[in-house]
Amino acid sequence: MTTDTTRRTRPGDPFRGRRRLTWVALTGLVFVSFGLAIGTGTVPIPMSDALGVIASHFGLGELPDGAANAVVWNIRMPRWLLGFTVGAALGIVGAVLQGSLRNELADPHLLGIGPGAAIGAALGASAGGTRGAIAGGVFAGVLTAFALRRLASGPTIDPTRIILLGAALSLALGAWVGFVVFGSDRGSVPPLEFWLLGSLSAATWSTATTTAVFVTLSTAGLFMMSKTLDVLALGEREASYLGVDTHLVGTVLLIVSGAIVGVTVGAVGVVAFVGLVVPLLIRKGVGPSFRHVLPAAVVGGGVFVLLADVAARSIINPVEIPVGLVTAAVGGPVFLWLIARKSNV
Amino acid sequence: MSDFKLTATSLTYAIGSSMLVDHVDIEAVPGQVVAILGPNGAGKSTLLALLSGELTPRSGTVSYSTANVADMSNADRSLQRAMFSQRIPVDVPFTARAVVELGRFPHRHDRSLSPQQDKTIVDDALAITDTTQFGDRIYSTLSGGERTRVALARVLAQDTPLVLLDEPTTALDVYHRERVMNIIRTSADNGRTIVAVLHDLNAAAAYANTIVVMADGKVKATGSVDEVLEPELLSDVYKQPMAVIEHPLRPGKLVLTDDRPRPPR
Repeated sequence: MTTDTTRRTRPGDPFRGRRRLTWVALTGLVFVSFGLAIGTGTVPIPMSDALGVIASHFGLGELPDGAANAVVWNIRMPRWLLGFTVGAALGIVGAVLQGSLRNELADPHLLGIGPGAAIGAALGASAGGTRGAIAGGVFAGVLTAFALRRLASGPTIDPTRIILLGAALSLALGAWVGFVVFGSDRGSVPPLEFWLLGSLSAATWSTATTTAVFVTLSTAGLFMMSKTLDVLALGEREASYLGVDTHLVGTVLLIVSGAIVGVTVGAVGVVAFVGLVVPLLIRKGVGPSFRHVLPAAVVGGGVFVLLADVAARSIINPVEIPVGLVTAAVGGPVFLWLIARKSNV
Repeated sequence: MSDFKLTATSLTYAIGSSMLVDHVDIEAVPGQVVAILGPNGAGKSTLLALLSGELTPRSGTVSYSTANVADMSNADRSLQRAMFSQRIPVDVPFTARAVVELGRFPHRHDRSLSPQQDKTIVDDALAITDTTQFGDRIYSTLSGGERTRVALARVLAQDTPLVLLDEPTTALDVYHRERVMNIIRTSADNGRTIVAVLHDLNAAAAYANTIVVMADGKVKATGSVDEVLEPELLSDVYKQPMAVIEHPLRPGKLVLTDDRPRPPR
C-alpha cells in the first residue's frame, strides 16, 4: 500500500522499471562476456588458471605457469580491453549521431565516416604501423565528418540530406580503401578484409590502452552533452529557441564522432552495425533520455563486440573470421526486426 | 520582470526584392497581450521570427529592454524570450513532463535555483495548462489539443519575461481554444509580455490589449481593440466584407464575416 502511493507521487518516469532490468542484464553480460573472452581460444586454459593469471598481475597470488600467462595476459586481456573499448565507442557514437540527426540510420559507418577513416588508417599503417594507423584514422575520420558537414551545409542541418550524402560517401570511400590497400606494400599494410570487416586479432596492450584512454576521455565529454542532446530531440528550431547553438553543436558532435570512430578504425578496422543496432536496443530498454542512453550504449556496445568476437573465434574453429561479419550477421536482422516492428505500432 | 520592454523599430526583412516585413514598429510591455492579425502571407510569422532573434532584420532593430537582440547570444535570448511554435516533431519520444522539463534547459547553469525550485516551476506550468494528469504519458501519444497545451507548458516553464506565440489556437476546438487563450491572458496578468500571431479575430477581441493588423508586410493599424476592429479596415485587409457589432454575451466587440454566397469575382 505505502509503496504504491510513493510510486504514484514520484513524477513521470514510465521507464524506471525497465531501466533497472536493462542494467541487471547489461551487468550480467559484462561478466559473461569477460569470462568468454578470457576463456575462449585455441589453447584450452581452465577458467581458474585464467583468473589466477589476472589476479597475480594485480598482486594477488603467485603467477601460474608461463604458457597460461602469455596467452591470457598478453593476448586475451588486451583483446578483451580493445573489444570492449571499440564496442563502447561505436555504441555511444551511434547514440549521439542518431540523437543529433533524429534518424535511426545515422550510423558512423553508413555515414561514410568509418570507410573514410579506413583510408587514412591504411595510409597511416604503411607509414607508421599501428600508431600510424590510429593517427591516420583519427585524421581521416575528422576530415570525413567535416566534409560531410560541409557538403550538407545550409542554414540548418537537414538530417535526411546528411544521411543521403553519407550513404553515397560510404560506398565511394569503401572502394577507395581498396585502392590504398592494393596500392601499398603488402607486408606493411593489413589486408582489405581487416579494414572493411574488422578484426581484434592483432590486439596488443599498446593499441588497447591508447584506444581506451582516447575513448574514455571523449566519452566523458559526450556525457556532459546529454541534456543538449535531449533538447535536440525537440527539433533544431525548438532547440535553438532554448538557447542551443544548433549549428555549432551539430558540427562539434559530428567531428568528435569522426575522431572517436577514427581511433576504432585505426585499431581494428570497420566493425559494422554496432552503432546502428546498439542505440536502438538500448533506447527500448532505458527510455529516450540521453542521461540514461549514453552510459547504457557504452556498456551495450562493449559487450556486443566482445560476444561477437568470441563467436568470430569459435564458429569456424580453428579459422578466425572477421568480427564485422558476426556483428553484421546478427545486427542486420535485429535492425530489420526493430524497424519493421516500429512501423506496425 | 516588470521593467521589461519589447521595442521593435522600423523592422524590415526581405528575400530578394520581395519585402516580407516593411518598416514595422512594435512595442509591448508586461501585462500586455499584443495580437498580430492579418491575412495569410501578411508577414506575421516572419515578424515573430524577427522579434525572437531567429531572423536578423535587413534594417531596423529589436530590443529586449535595453539590449539589442541582434547582439545577444542564443543562450541569452533564451533567458529573455520563449517561443511557441507548432513545430515540435510529433514523434518526440519523451513523456509530456520531460518535454516541459526541457523548458528549464536555459536555466541549467543558474546556481541560485535549487532542483526543488525547478521542479515547482515545472509543476506549476503543468498545472496552469491542466496537463498534470498526462505528465507520465509519451508526448507522441497525446492528441493535438493535448500536445498544444504541453508545448505551451514548455514555453511557460522557460520562465521568460517575453513570450512569443505563433498561432497557438490553430487546430484547436472551441473549448481548447478558450482554455489556451485564458492561459495566455493569465500569464500576461502575472507580469509577462505576450505577442501572439492569431487567426481568430474574436479571440483577439476578447483577450488582447493591443491589436496590430498587418497586410503585405506593413502595419495597417495599431491600437486598442475598439480602435482597430473597424469593419472598413478589416474588409479591406481580408478582402471579404466584415461587420463589427457589440458582443451579445460579454462587453466588447464581435467580428462577423459576411459569408453570404456570392458569384466568384
